[in-house]
Amino acid sequence: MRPSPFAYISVRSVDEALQALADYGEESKLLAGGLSLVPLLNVRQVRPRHVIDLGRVDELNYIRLQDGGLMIGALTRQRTVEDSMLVRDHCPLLYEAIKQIGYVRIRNQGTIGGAIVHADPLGELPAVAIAAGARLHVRGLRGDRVLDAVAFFTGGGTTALAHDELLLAVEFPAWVGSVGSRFREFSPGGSGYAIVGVAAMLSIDDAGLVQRIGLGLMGVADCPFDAAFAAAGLLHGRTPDAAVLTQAADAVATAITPNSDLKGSAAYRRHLARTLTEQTLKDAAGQARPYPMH
Amino acid sequence: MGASQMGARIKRMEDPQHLRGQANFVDDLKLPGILHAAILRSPHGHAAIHGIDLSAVRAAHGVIDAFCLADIWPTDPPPIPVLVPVDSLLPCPQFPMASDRVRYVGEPVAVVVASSRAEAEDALELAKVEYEVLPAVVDPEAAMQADAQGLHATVPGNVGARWTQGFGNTAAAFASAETIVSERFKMQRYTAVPLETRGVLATRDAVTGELTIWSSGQWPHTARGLTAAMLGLDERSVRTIQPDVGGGFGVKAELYPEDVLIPLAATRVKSPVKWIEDRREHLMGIVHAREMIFDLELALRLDGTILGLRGTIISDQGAYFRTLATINASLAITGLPGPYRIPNYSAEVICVLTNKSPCSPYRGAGGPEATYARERLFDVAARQLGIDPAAFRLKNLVPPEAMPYDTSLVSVESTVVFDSGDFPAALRQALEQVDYTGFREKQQRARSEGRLHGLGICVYAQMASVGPYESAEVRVDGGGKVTVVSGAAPQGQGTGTALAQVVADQLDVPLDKIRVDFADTARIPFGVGTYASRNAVMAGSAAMGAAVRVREKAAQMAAHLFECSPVDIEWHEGDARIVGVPGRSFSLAQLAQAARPGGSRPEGMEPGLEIRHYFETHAAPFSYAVHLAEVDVDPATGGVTVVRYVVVNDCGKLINPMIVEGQIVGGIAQGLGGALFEELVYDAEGQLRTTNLTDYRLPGSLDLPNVEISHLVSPSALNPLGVKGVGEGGAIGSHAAVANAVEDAIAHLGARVRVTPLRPAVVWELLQHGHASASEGV
Amino acid sequence: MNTENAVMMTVNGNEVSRTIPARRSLAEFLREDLNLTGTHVGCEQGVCGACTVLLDGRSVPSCLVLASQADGCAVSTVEGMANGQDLHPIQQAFWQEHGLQCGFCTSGILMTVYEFLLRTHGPSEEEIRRTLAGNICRCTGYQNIVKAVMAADRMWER
Repeated sequence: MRPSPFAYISVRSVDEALQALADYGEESKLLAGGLSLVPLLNVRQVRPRHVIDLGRVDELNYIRLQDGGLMIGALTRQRTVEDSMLVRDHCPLLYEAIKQIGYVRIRNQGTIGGAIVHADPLGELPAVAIAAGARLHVRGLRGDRVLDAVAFFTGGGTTALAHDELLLAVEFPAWVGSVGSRFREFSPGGSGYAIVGVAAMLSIDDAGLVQRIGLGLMGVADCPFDAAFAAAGLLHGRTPDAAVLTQAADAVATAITPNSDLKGSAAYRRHLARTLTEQTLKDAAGQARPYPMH
Repeated sequence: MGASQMGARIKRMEDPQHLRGQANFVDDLKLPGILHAAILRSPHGHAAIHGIDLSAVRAAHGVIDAFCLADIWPTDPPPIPVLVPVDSLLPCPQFPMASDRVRYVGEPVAVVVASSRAEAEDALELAKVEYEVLPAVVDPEAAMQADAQGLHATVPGNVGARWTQGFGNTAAAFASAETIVSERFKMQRYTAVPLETRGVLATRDAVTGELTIWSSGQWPHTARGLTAAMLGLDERSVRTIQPDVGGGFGVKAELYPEDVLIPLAATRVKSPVKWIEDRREHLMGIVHAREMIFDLELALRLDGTILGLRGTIISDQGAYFRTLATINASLAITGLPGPYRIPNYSAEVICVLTNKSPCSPYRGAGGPEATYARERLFDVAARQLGIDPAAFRLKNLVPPEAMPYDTSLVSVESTVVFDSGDFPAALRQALEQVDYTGFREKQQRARSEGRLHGLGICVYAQMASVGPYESAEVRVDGGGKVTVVSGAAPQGQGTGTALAQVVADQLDVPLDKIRVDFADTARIPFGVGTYASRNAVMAGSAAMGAAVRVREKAAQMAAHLFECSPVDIEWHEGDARIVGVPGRSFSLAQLAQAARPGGSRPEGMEPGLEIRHYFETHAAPFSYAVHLAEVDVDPATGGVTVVRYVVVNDCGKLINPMIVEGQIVGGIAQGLGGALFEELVYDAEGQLRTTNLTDYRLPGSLDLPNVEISHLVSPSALNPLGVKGVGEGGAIGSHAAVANAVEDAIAHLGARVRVTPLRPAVVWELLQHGHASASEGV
Repeated sequence: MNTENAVMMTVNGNEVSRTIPARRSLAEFLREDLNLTGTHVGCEQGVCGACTVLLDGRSVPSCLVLASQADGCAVSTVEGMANGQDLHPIQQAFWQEHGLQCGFCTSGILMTVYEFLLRTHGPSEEEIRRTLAGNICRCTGYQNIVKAVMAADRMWER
């Protein structure tokens, strides 16, 4: 099938992009890598009158250290993130997860911002953003704001981004203390399509007690799911030993209400979520150390 | 000249073109003035149509034409015929478009022709069709109930055909049984999903009126005949060509509505018209297959001897019976006993209509289904009796001294006679290759460590060709080049290389002098096509027969030139000479030149070094194999990994072992996909929920191990090459072998495999409860 | 609303320019406008890999890239792989190892393998299978494709 007809506008700066969004309104769509939008165009599930291509907005293509954390421009290709030593050293969770997105050709073309704004409940990047406490820097004609990833995904493919706003950058702030993280997804046959995935990050203070926890789950809700609330009460201020982490995983499993679908029943997804949460928390706790890694 | 090409692992002559990106699939073909068609398809699984208004479609930008059934055939539209009927068959044909009823999602309702596909699709959105949605029937057992919605007035109870086959006396056998094992097995709906979807390009010559059709198909001569008949044209006015085809696997051997609609459109608009199926259309409208329910009973002695087998097969046929509708059912009921000595057998097959895409052969065509049900049943029986599953099979396999073994069963395609082979030897060899005894020890150790490791066995025999004939022309030109024209119609099997090898041996010419052409009704008047694993046997034997006769003719020509008797001619390095007289010889090129019309030839000899030959037979050889699959099941996720796969295969003599092995491995991938994850899922309204390759997952490179293949060779006496077909075999053995392996891995925990696919969620449920819910959305 | 725009790009080293509908994919542009039909479309969703081409040296799913997105870029397709009559070593390896049957997936796999072998020397079978996991072949069962990649690794001096 071919898309319905649209006009194509290529912009070269953030200002141009915002102007185009204002000019064309609700019937326009932003195009980053295209790997989220074009499949929908190809089945006419979305029918924008204008497609605004951000691919030449070079000012949004960067990876920088900032205050010990990372700032990644929204139009940075996933493959660039995957190859980055800065990312490896300053956000190992992101580094680990990004390799598991689809295949090389997907990561070559896909952008970090595009994947986050697409808010796929099965997307690796939204789950990582939640777990890492990422902050999303957006700009609209009315000005700039910073949104916490944990509050960004509002369900059913929608986000807190207004239609006239553009995601500029994803910030992965530095965590204090000894930090450990782990990403795991169950993706049969390496098919690139996960059933359930978990991104876990935690920090431990000098006394060996959990200070902070981040948990992002894929495949358990109609949006990327922040599960930290379920585990936080059990983990804060405690030593992350096996028993405590198991309890936390159980609590997460109880807190989610997954759907049944072609890939698995609700009970199965709940089971996978529990198992993967337990594994990732244990691995994260086991590897906690001060950043950067190298 | 050199070594024999028969049995040589030579590189394929087809490859360079593909490697360069210079193949010609139907969508690669361009004609001046070409227009593009799109098809308006039913969005409902079952609905009455009360009106079709295409006026806005016709007025849309770029549109040249739009039509529905009533515009072409106001009365008596031509039905797509059933080519292989059975006595009990009730009429439920499909017409080129729907008129007052649609019966499956995707059924064609109208055609639009425009300057581009995109514009055609824009226009289709303006069509107004008044649908009255009717209840959809998607479960075959529910379809047979008295209160079920009927699909066709001509088919009461939605049962389009049913019949019984068997032999012996099952009542007596079961009465005397020491134990009876009964089980129900279900195989899910899945299909071939070739990487190239379908496509049709048609053009009518403005001067001659000849209609030329290029189609991504498998049987151009049959398609030509059916299309001509349905359009009311003489066959000689229709030429069908099959260009390069990106996989067929049986599902492109069909007469689809578009095969008639696109030529019709081209005739109406007086321009070439092309239609290329997109993936969503493909999953909705390609023939579906495999969906069968087996209720089986096995009568046994306690020592494992089988006394009898009986049961019922429900075959979900989809919404219509098209050309080959009965084949899956027929091959299932006649393939159920398999290569085993079963003295008494009785089964009934029931073909049920449902609001889904019509079903037809897909690689194995009833063989994979029956093999799965039987091999599963045998594992269950073996476990119940406390007998090792391999020992159980060895006890009951037809022994070599009983060959040829006439089962007395007859399918719509052939008698089921195992012509040659040694089934027990193949099984023993396979068991030895995996160190079966050692495996069982390994399995025990794994279990004690909580690891789930299983081995599945499958022994099957397959109909390895089908008649009634295949054609070949072999022609030597004045330059000594050899052209072979075959009625076969391959879709990537490397048949050109294989036929060249056969002809090279007969004519003693180098391979690079041979060109093989296929699949064009203008090049050879009669042909059957490529499906049912028939190429090696039928096309190979036809080519061989033609080449043998060309050589005979060449010898006669040489004798004429030498003024001697043909018995005094011998061949040396491809040239003809008088026995014992090495000084003078004639090359094939010279003999071809000499044989031209107008020259001097032996009395009564037709001009030209060319022969057209038909290999005609109704007898089908049977090839067979043993498949052993080793799996690991992850108890945490239910994920199944196939860690080892061993095949002992016997398809008689091999023309090109590399090609044979490629076919086996490719078939195994498809059966493995069926066992573990491929499924076409409909909801209660008859909506297809698996409409893209994310929802319908295909096997990838991480899903398969390296398959270990060894060959036994039991030549067939039924053709001059001694070959047997093998193309379907990989898919017949693997669904059963993998399903058996999974149960073997988890049976000790009380789990039983009765339904596939064994997705991780399903396996996990089996591990929790011992059985999985049979319905989807699990 | 103007639904067409001009694109200019280099394809296999040749500069091309056309005016096209904005909704045209790069795959369609290559196949229809430039007659480079070696790139095939299998799913229109970026899943099967048949349409893989190189865009500024990176493998991409050309069914999901709008032709307009490739404006100003360099595209490499399978037609550019051979050196005149001489097949590229990767192509030779596939021929030698029977790494194709119907050929429909082949060009996408060749592009993927080309990019992979530029970055990797002496890959293990596991690495090869992992890299190929995004390219569907319905005919071969992958075994000979893996062998072909290993042969290509040995045959291609890079």
